[in-house]
Amino acid sequence: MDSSDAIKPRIEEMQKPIRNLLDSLNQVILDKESLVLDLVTGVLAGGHVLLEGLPGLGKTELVKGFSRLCSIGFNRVQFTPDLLPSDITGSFILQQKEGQREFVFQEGPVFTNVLLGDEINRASPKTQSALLEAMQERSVTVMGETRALPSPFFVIATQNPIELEGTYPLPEAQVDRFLFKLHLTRPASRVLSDIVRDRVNGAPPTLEPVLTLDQLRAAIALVHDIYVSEAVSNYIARLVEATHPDSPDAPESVRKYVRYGGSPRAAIALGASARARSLILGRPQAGFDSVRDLFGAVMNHRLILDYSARIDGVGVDRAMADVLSAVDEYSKPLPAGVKE
Amino acid sequence: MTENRGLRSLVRPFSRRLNLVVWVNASLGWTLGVAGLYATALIALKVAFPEGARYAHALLALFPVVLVAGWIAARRRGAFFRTTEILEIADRLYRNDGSVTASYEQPRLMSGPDFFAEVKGEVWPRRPRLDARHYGKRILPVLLYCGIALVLPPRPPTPTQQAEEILAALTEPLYEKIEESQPLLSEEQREELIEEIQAISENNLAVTREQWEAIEDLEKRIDDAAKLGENALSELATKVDEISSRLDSSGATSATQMSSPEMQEMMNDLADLMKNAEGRLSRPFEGNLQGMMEGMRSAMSPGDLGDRLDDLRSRLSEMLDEGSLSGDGAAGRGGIDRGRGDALLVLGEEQTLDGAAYEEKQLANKYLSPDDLVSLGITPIEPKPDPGRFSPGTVREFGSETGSEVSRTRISPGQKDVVGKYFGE
Repeated sequence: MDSSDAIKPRIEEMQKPIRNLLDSLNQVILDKESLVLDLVTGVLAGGHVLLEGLPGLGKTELVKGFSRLCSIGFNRVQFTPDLLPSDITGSFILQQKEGQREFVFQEGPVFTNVLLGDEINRASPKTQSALLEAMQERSVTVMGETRALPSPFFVIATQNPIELEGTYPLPEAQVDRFLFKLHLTRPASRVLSDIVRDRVNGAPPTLEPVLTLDQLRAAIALVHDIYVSEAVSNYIARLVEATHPDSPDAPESVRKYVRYGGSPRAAIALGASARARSLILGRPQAGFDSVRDLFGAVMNHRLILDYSARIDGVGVDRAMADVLSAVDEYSKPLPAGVKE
Repeated sequence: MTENRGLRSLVRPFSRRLNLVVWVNASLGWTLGVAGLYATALIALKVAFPEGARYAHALLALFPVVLVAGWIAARRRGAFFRTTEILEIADRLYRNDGSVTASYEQPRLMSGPDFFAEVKGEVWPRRPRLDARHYGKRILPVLLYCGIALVLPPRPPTPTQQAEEILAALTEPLYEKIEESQPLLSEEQREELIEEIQAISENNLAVTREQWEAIEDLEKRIDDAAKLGENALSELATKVDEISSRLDSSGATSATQMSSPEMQEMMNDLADLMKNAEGRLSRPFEGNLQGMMEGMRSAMSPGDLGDRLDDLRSRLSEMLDEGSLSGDGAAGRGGIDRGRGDALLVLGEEQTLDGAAYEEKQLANKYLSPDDLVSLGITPIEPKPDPGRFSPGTVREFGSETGSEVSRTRISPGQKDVVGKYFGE
């Protein structure tokens, strides 16, 4: 039996827990359905998510709520300039056991399912780099010994766009390892009013888990079986290609302001996230619409603008919007003289 | 892959439509170019060379060539839509969720005819349609241009100066002849003849064979009419002589000596003569004769009547001299009995007539036999003898005073009678 034969019932079976997860997360953080959807998409795609937003917007609560709803391990690390790599990965400590002394590995907070790295840009590059192997290989190597991290493992890091003094911007290599960079904006006054009224201390309501660890693993595994057609993969490739200033398909803003475009990892991330989004939508195949929806979340931290963009006040959002406008879903545009 | 057949029924009409548009687009520029070229050529020929305007239609033969070239060009550029590309369009028109393309690549992913029927039902009504404005903006101006070129009337040919000169040379003697024969022609005859000459002269683009023949025919009619008038006058003069002799033989010196019936008979004879001549002479002359007749009726004596008859006889003699079309015997001044000698004979450069062409022919023993002489045209301009150019057998000399020189030249059929009469056939 082809794997595609069984995928539809598996997808249908997964719909209810995923819907519950989304509904519950929307209770944790109000009026952020799109952000919640992207976060769950990123997690199901097996990626790491960088959350950026002002303090007090509920980033930490969102991640905590997610881990609680999924019944998975959760650790939180507050990144500070004096944080050492071993504070994250763990280290060997000398321990006396049965009259003998031996080095025993003391696991760091990275040994969990969800690692919340609060204000990740406040740690030194050395400490930030300690996460590279964990994020990419899902393993940690200390003193020559490599240890696998629990599955699933993903990092959800937060970043404060203000108070940049004393911070260390994430290196491009590490930024590229985050599947999504999501922006958390302040809530509308109506939502704020609800929060003030309903949440005395700001704490979200206590929610029961809606997803087991096995279900989460199964969902992540199911994402890999989602089919990406040649047309959709071509579309992804053309989109990523158009983010490069030297590409013939690049729009004017990309040619003028972008210094580096998306890497092949970005294309892979876009494909994976489109698959995950399709699972959430209950489809056995990735669609053009999912690719368009997720293009911003995947690419906004991967496009490196040059200084002229700052001078002209051009942001990465405009470049991405121009790419989406310039690249058609059709690999061959409709001939002139034909209209839809 | 059996499920894919459902998509084929959607893909094929899509493919036909879009690839037809691709073909049209690839050919459109060249097609419009050829159409514009055709219209331009048609206009140019209608203005500059109206007779050759039909040759512009040959450019229409380029249309199939351009269409084939457009198809080849589109194929080489890879502009035609492949199945997968058609499916992308169908996918977007369906739900933009990749289901159509995925179902084509993985038929089991989207199974069942229901799915294909649903796709077709949703996509076909939203299929890409021709943008009439897009093509209208391009095609209509060219069509308009072609329409103008087609309805544009060809420029009317301008009369050639040479043709005008020839016609004037041919018709001027006719006017002169009418003027000379004025006493012998009635007013109606003169007006009719002048109108016919003017009608012949209206077509002054080229001198045609028909015009030549019409002019000759007209000249003959003028001569005939003048001859009739002259005959009437001659007959009148004879009768007047006869009456005069009868008067002389009567020996009467006064009217009383002549019997009234005798006088009356003479007067009746004169009246009959006048009646016969009526309509064949010019109106002033007829009036003049009527006046004279009235004078004779009122003559008081045979002497008086004789004087009046003498007066009438001399008047008739004058009239005959004035209206005579007989020539004076000089060359080129023939007359009604000597052919068209009065006509200004203008020879010169050869005139190309419709359908006429010179045929190069090798003469046996350098001898031109009469059988080789074929009438092709008439040279209406003054001749320029070139003895070195013409063989002795064709043209030897012009300008003979007597017409006795031997000359072989080609003449038109219309001239043969005249020439034959001139040489006393």
